[in-house]
Amino acid sequence: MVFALIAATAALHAVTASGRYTGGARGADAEDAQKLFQDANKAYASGDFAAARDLYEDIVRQGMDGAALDYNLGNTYFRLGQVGRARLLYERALARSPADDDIRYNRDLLQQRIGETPETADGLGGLAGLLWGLTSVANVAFFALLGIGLFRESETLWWGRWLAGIFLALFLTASLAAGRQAAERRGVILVPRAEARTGPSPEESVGFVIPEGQRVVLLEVINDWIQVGLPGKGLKGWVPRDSVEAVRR
Amino acid sequence: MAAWHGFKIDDIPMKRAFCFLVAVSLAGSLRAGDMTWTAQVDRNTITMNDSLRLQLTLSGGKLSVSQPDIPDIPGFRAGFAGQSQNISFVNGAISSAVTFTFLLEPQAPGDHTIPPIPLSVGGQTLATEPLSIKVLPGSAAPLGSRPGLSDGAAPPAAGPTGGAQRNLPGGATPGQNFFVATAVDKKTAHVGEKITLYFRFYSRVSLLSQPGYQPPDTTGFLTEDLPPQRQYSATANGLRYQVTELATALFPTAAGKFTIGPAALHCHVQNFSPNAGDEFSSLFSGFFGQTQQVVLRSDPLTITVLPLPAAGRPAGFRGDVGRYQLSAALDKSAVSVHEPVTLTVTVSGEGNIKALSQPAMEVPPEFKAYETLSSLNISKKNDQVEGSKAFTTVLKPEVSGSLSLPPVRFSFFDPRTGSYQTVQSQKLSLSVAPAPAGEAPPAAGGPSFPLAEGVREISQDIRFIKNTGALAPPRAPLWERPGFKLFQGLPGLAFGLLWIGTFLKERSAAHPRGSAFRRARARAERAAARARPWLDKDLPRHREALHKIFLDYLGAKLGLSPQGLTLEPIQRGLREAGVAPEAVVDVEALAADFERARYTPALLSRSEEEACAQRLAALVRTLDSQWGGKS
Repeated sequence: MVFALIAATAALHAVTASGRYTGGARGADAEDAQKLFQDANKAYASGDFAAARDLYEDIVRQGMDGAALDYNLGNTYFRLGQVGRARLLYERALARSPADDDIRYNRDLLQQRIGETPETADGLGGLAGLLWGLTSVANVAFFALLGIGLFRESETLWWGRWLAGIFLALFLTASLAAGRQAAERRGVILVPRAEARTGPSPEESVGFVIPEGQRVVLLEVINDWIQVGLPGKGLKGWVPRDSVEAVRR
Repeated sequence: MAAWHGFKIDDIPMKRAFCFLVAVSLAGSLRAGDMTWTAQVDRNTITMNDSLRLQLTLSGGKLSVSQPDIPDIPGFRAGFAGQSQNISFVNGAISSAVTFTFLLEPQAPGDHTIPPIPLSVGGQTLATEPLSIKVLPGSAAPLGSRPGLSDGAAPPAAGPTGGAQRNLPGGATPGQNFFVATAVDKKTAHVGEKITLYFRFYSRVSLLSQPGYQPPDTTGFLTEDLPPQRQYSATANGLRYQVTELATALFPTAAGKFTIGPAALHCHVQNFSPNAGDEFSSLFSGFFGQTQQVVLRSDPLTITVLPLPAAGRPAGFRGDVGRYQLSAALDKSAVSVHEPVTLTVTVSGEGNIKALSQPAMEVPPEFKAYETLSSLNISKKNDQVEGSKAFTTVLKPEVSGSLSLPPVRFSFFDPRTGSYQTVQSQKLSLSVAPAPAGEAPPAAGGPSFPLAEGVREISQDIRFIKNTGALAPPRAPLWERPGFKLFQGLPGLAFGLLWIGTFLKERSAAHPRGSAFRRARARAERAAARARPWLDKDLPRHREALHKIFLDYLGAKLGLSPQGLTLEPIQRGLREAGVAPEAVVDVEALAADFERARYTPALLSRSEEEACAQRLAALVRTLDSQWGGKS
């Protein structure tokens, strides 16, 4: 029973880490979406980025989602020069598939283009899936070793239980922290130059300016204004709500 | 607006004594020889605005010849411009020549002929050969269009110093016979904007030698000569002058007020002035004439240079001023990888061509660019500095495919419109074929292979789209779903169950009769109830079921296996358990009944079976009450 649990946990987290868990797309909807997806890919490959964007957006309007869809749509917006939209979609794709090297490469390249410093870009939030996977493995291993210890005892088992327990404690702590960060509301600036004011009013003075494509933390909403923060720089300011969009829908 | 500026004349007197000694020592050595009388003009084609220099030379004759009478020359008006003598020693022989210079001003365009000019000398009459002259309609700028030139503009008064006040040929005052002046076409300009500086020498007499021009100090300006030197006639202060004009383009390098220093002209003129006074000088004046060196200087000019406006300055502006066009071209349209191709970017127009900066060229990373070389093509016509500057760059494509070079941009300030302009070239395309497979050169002493270039990143761009990908309705990440958190509790739960099972097992091992002992009566009663239907169907089977219940109960209570259980271990167990002897007797009796029934099943009756069941039930109750649940 214990080994069956380990195997099940490992399989579950392999799926989680790769981001290929898709849930249940149903029949005709999924087929239509896939056809649109292929048509959009062809349009992109032929250089018709506007047409590709429209087709990808049609898929989104159909209620479909996916890391590849976000990634491709992000590439399309990048080609069209809309770096804010591109960044937003790369972040969404990366949240869905954090281990995808292509998504991370394009996100990092865009980040480099807009002059965003790397230390503000990544946190534990993106590792939540991985950390929870490791936590699960440590969890299963720890209790499995405890279970084995009910039947036989050895020094190896004793040390194994201790190590598994320590790893479980570490991974669980990190996973909870990552989970909090992942749950943190993050957004991306979509306008070429967002003026962050000291208060939620156009009468307030401009504290700093945020470039398009910069990732920010979404803090508080008052009327048509939203407070955004740049934790790496220790800055907070208010921008119009329509100048920023949350990464998580 | 042009401006006139005054002049100064400094003279340097000739060393008359030296000339005298030379003349006396040489005069006796002159030999009589064949005399020649020639006429020579400095050019055969002139315009109406030019003048012609006619030189009449008597060679081999005596030096003290009188000025020839010039006949009427059709189409020209002649004026005497001076006389000079020349004595030379060649291999011990002495030769002499006297030259009379006349300036001829054309009166009408067309083909004219200077007729033979006679000269009487030593009883002989000599005549020159006729000369054909072509006079073209005037092409130079009319008077008044050049800065500082207008009939109404009077030359400044003669300076008070030195030789300027001497009597000069023609009997005119020095200021009226020759002077210099400078003028500019504008006194206010932007940084880099062309200013034309004119230096003019006005003369009504001829010079004895080529004058020496000393240009002005133009600190704060880049200069560009504007040849050719022009000559024309002009009227100033009611007098007709022969004007020699030099033009120079000036390009201010910084904003502020700058001064163009005085320009100077060193020249030798003939002085027939009688102020030498003495007879000695007069005697030889006819032989050598009298020369003096004069230095003419113009007044300085002040130029105001404005800075280039900050408003509207393009990002790529590098300080170029003028009016320009831009073109770019590749010398090939199709090449192979690593095959060089030449990109030529040409900026052409009007301005300081030499100082043109290189247009901003963005070479894509697919190309390797080598050093850019530049070449100039400058034309200076009508006082304008025009031309082109070509920037040549050798490019080597590093990858194959259809490559393109982005447009080249060039920004400049146009002083005529007072605004910045940006011109750009067309986008250039280049078809690059893959490099042909190279063959390594044979190497002596062993196999060889091409040197690997190594991995080199050509450009950075986003990676391509993904052609496959699952699509599904949006869902929260797996680790945020409630089921995932429940899943995290499964290992702990499994371990808990396992631990409980182990605990119970251990407790059972520690108390072997525990569970079976406690549940023996309940099991016996449930089994008796299940066996009851056999009373109506199969009495032996009923008795057999009761027998099994009997053995199972006692086995469970005594901790013995019911299989093959005999009376002896039962009796021993009951005694060890402290069961009352009456109960033991009942057990023995019931065991005997079961034993007997096994051998005579046909004798069983229903009533007997019911009685047996009741006895068994009573026995179980009795024993159970006596054991009391203790193990």
